[in-house]
Amino acid sequence: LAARSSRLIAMLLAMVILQLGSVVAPDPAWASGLAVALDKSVAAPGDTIQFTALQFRPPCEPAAAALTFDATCPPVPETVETVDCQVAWDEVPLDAPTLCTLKESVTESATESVIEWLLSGSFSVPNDATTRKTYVVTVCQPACSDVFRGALLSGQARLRIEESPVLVPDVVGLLADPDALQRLTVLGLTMVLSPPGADPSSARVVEQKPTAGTPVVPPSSVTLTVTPLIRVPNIVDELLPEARRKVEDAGLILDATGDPTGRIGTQDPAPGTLVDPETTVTVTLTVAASPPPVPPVSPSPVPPASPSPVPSASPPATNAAPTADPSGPAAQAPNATPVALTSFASPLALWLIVILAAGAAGLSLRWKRRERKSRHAMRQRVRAVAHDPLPSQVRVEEIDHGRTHSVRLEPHADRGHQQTQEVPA
Amino acid sequence: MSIEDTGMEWSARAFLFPSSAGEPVATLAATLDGQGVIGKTVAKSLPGKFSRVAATAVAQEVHEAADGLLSVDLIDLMVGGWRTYAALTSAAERTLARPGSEEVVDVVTHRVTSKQQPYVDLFVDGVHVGTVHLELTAVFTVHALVALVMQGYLRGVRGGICDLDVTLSAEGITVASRHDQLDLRMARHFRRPIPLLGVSPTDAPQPAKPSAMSAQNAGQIPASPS
Repeated sequence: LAARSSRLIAMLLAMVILQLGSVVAPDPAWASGLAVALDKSVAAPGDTIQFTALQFRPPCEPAAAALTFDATCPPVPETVETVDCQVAWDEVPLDAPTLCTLKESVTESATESVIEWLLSGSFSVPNDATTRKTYVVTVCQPACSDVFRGALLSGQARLRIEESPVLVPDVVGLLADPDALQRLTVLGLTMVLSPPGADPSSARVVEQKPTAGTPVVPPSSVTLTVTPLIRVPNIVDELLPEARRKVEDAGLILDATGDPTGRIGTQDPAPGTLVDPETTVTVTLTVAASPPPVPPVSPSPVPPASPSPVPSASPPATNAAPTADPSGPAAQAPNATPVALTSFASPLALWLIVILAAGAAGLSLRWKRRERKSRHAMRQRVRAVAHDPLPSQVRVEEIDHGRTHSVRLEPHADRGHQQTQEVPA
Repeated sequence: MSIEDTGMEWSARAFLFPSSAGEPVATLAATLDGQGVIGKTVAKSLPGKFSRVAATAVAQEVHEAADGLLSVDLIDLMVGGWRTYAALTSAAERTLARPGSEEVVDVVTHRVTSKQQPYVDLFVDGVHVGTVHLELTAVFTVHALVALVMQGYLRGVRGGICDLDVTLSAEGITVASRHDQLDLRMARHFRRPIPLLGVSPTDAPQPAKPSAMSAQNAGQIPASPS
């Protein structure tokens, strides 16, 4: 009865292990004597992993001989003990020695064919473990029966290494690009805009999913619900009706103070500022301008009509000019000078125009070339993101083209075949 | 008691690319496809809507998948061949029939040839667009081997020099090949009992529940690590 109940306990323990461990190594574990289970199937470098290993002693013939333990080997413990074991990481033993705690032991009489007991311990994931890779963790423990004396019982489990989770930052209220985008990309997260197609450089984040503080594993995407922003038009120096039309056409509200017949003197927010829809643009109007004053008449350069035969030491009378008729030659003087200059400066102006046009054309070409280069650089921005939990599933995003492809790889291992032939001496 | 291990890797990857041991997979992948065979096959398979950079990203993933297929343990391949070798299997049967007996088998020079043809299927947006075929051939010529057989198990080796030639090809083009001579006594595999009977090299032992552990599969050690 005792033997049966201990066997039942062992079976129950095995079932518990299978439930605890997310990953139980397939055939090798059972076949070689240890069934290894890890407390998590996905971990980050530096994490501590708890493992349990249920050990089986395969039956031997004759059973009694197989279960007679050598005097040099420790007896099968009946209580909690610590025994040697070792954990290897993709076949490389971990540096720190590992002690397995023998938590439970279930032994059977020497005539029974199976012995089972439970080991447990822990190890640390090496800090240099490669992320997005699945490692094989091997737990070994020396066997000590006369048949398997000196042999190592081992079991394996698989552990996938992913990046450490990061906390999603709070980006609500920020401009999607560059403010929110920078905060996300620095953590290895990607941004998805809602509605899709919104211009991130003129949109403000009003909601985010996952919310701030949620732990996620990069590369994950954060969906940002955005509202488009409006660029404030430049209305300085405009008359009020024209300014009002421009502001309201843009979806903003105009609040004007001052002389309604005047022109816009100042505006707040400044031209070019990005604001939410229906934001009020406050302007002050200057006093309406009066008709331009008559320019003062300058002394006539024209010499007196009747030249004095004798040069006069005294200057000519200047009081005659101010009293002259405004429609006379003095009033036309302002026009006379530009006319005179045009004929003189036209070649110079022509040259200036030519130089400016050439400069503008050069700048335009340079700008276009830079833009082309920038577009080319943008085409290079391709992101390949592995899907969880299928490492063979890859999503390829061409960011600036908005194209996403799902690429799935199916590696097929081949067990192959072996042939043996003797080689003549 | 600690594991006595030489720390030597016996995977096909470690043998073919000894200088890249311990390097990240990406580096190994680049080494693996130095001639760009896989990259060209992927680029040919992908539809035109993929940019060159996107195609390179996909090729990198294929490299990593192909690299994973090189984890096969060479000693396991050789042992798989021994399971078909009458000199050893008959000794295993005799010792199993006479409990407690053991045989020391002086094995004549023999050659084990192993051929595997793994491949990677490539699907884009759910549509199969191409396949990258690989072939791994290993030829073991074993000299001066003395094997200790007990109760159907290979319990250890004495001596044993192995001339090993491994060739990896992709799409029919050899991308890596290496020859070396190995001392089989260095392989930690032989520190554990290795079943010589009842496991065909192409049969994978099935996962068994504790209660289902039976005399047939008890004590079996898998022919190749998963």
